Amino acid sequence: MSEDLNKYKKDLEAGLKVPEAYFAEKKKLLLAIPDNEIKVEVDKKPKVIRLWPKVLTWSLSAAAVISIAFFLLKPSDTNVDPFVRLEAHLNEMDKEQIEDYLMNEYIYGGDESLLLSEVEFEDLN
Amino acid sequence: MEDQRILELIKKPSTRLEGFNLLVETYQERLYWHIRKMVLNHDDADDVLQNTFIKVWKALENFRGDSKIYTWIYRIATNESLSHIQKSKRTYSSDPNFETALSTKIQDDPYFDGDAAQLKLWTAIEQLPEKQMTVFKLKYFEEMKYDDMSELLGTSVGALKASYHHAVNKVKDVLLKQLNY
Repeated sequence: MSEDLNKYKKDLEAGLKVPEAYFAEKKKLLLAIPDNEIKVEVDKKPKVIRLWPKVLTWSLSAAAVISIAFFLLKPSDTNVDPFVRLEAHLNEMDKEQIEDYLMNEYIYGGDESLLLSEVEFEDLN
Repeated sequence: MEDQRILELIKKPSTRLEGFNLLVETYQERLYWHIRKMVLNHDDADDVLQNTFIKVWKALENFRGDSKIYTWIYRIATNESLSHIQKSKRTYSSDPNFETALSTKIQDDPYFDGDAAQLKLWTAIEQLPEKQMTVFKLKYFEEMKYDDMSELLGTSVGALKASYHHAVNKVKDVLLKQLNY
């Protein structure tokens, strides 16, 4: 039977045609494949974005935040009311230092009433 | 002779393009007819041929020359054709009047120039189950050895012989009716 079928093989193949000058035209398209594929590869290449300016900005921002956090969250005296801390600080100051300060203020621009009020404030302590 | 030259050219990146061009010039037509008999329709064959050479170009730098050049591109072309057949079979096999749909599709191809007998035979071949059709075409038109076919399709030689036997009997029935036996 295969022999019978083989008689028809040429006929079956002969019934298949191609457009005129198909192979010449197709060759041009096939030879252009490397160009097109290289172009596609280039188009596909990811756009390079320089990261260092962003990294620098973020690093500086992070450093600033860490510094602020460090000072704000410093463990010493953080649970103490700021006014109490100020008062304690004033108490630690030498009375002479306070008097010198007030005198300077009086001599270089301060007035007497201010001096008196400061003295009263000091006396109250 | 050409294969040796192509192989030398594609090995070096600087001459790979020249090697590809020679490959196209040498095998374009032969490969087209192999694909055409597999997929039958000219436009489909044209698409498959294009895809085949795109794949060949992309894989060219990794080709080590373990097999012959034509064997390698022939395998790519066959696989591309089989993928195409699978896709189109899925579309057509859902048609309740499968035979008529196939016959119409063949006739609609402006580059099919067969007579009524050829149309019937082609329709009979295209109507075969996918595996049988593939085996039939590779054996009948390409005269491929069963061992090579086995490697290509990943099927045992025995199963391939059985598929071909069934396919031949089905096509034979059509042929006998055609000849009014």
